[in-house]
Amino acid sequence: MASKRVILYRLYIVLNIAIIWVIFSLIFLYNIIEVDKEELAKRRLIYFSLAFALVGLIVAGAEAFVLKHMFRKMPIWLSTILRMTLTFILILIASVVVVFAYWIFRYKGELSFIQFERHFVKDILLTPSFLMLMVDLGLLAFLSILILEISDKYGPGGLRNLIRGRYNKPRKENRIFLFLDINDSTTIAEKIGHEKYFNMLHDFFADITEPIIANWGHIYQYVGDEVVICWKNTPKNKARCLNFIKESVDVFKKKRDYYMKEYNVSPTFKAGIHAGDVTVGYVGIIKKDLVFSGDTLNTTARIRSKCHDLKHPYIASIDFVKDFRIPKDFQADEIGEMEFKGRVEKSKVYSLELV
Amino acid sequence: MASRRILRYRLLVLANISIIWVVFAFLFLYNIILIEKELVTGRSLLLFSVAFAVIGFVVSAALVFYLKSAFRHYPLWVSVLIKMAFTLGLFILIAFIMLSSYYVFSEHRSLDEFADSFYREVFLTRGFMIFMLDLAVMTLLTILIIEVTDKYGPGGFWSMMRGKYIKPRIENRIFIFLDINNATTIAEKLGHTKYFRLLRDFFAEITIPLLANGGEIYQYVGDEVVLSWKNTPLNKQRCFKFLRQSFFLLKRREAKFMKRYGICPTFKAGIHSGEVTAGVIGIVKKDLVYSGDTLNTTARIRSKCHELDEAFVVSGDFLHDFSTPFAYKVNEIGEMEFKGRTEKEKLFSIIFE
Repeated sequence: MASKRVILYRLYIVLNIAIIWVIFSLIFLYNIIEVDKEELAKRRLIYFSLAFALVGLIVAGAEAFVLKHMFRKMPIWLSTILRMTLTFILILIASVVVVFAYWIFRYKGELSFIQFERHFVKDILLTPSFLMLMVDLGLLAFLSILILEISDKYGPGGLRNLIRGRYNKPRKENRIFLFLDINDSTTIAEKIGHEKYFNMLHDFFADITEPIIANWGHIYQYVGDEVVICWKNTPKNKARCLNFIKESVDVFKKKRDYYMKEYNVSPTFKAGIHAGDVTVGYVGIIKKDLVFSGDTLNTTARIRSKCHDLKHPYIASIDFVKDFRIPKDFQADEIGEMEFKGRVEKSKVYSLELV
Repeated sequence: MASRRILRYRLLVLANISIIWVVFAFLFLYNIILIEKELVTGRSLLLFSVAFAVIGFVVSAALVFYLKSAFRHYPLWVSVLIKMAFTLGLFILIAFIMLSSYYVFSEHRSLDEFADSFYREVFLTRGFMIFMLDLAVMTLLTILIIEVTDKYGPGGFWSMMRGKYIKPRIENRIFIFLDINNATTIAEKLGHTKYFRLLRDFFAEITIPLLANGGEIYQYVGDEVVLSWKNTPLNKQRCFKFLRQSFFLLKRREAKFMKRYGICPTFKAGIHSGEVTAGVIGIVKKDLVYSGDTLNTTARIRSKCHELDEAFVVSGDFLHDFSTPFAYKVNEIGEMEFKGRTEKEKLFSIIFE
């Protein structure tokens, strides 16, 4: 299920959050250590921030890999509270274990668990610095949940592009676009009702995410029942684009039983593929968004609508097919011609057949 | 330029950020006060957090109103650094003024003496350093919050927090599809990069009437922008007002656009209302999505603008149960097939009087 790329992407987010934890931990712990100056020697700062980073890594890892799906159906504030409690417990357990180990190996006095417990409660649990640590941790847990949510809103790489200011000035880029659409969406929607149809759409887009990330695709936007995916225009990415179609077909074949059971239909899709220049940049004041603009997109949309006319699920333009050796899994056949804006002659379009 | 509605929206963002500052202030100051226990007595906590709130308010006001677009062309991290430096400067200035007035008026000593002791007793203390560090973190957070709320759009961030659309909801909404006239011709004439700037300026201009009339930007689709309101009679009126105000606003800006691009954009719009399913979709790219025939129909109505040679085309569904305000004239101009209906539906044009 989990391809290498998907895990890599998740790990990348976890790493980012862990770095934020370390930065915050340095600030927070500097504060705390100042408070308990007498108790803590200076050299422990490193230990502490290491421990903090470790806990941060565990928490963020748990968030990104496991908990996110568990809490997906809850509002953020509720899941935040639940996750914060979980974090507290985790920290409490970790600190009990660590301190207990330290106690056993280092403590010269009498060794008994009851004594340890009494000391633990009095000397650690009830000190102001421990309480503060807990508050700080809660804050961090909240922040990391928020960051996860926000980075999902921007999509992979989106937040980094924003911070780097990559598209502050509009840039011209050569990109591959793939418009992907569920077949017979209107019929399905009428058959199973709008609410159920929306749930199916949700599942469909969720299932397609894996092949997208595994093949380095970038989700540009959802337009109604359609999703627009893009790549930088390189031969390698062209191969990935085709591989994406192949893997997606496999995913829905595998999940056929699930969809039949849940919605009584098994979704299939059609796709239009094209490549060309677009201008990329941010637009909007109160709703800022990265926008691709240019004829390439309109043309891709028209190619996608050709799928219906020509009765073929996957159609690519000549711009995509030329200068590119089609992988063995696919066979490209010329199936028609289409007018492209700004060109005098009609351009060819090709059908892509899975062999 | 700044209408009341925009002011209110900015103030709302401001209030939210101030609340965050106060919460953090309690947390941070609790830390600091523990350190400098001898110096600061308990009752100062309140005083300090009030001061923090004031500073937070001033800083985020400066950010929201003035600085937000000041460094727009720099990468975010550069503008964050500049803004942080600015905040720290501002804060030191405020602290200096406040403390010096306190010093001069209640201790009756000279300003010279004060400057010396300020440097030694306040500036170089641990507490002050930590305070500065905390302040820097707060500023960073503020800038990020402003940036992120812009991504979500007004109200979007809170509906995400509240989990409003976790379960899909059926909503009755008004949609406007709005498009620049002759986009392809303009793009060919200006070149793509310059055309993109025109597009950006155009979207920025219509933001003001949009906010003033309580509309929401659903998404940008190529050169098109999709706007949306909840379907109420009041919002239908606002929708009309929005079209009128945008139309005249662009006319007023004609000189500016002509100077920059040699062309003044006009727009066409298709208006329709109906039920859609609203919900959050996607795993690695989450977005609020409206799904349903209503949207496809609105897109088709917008494309009718071109065929019928009318700037604004509105569906019969929208005008149903709605008496047109007297400054607008509505004429029947044609018919269109709607999906799932046997009879053709009427289309109307809007003319401003």
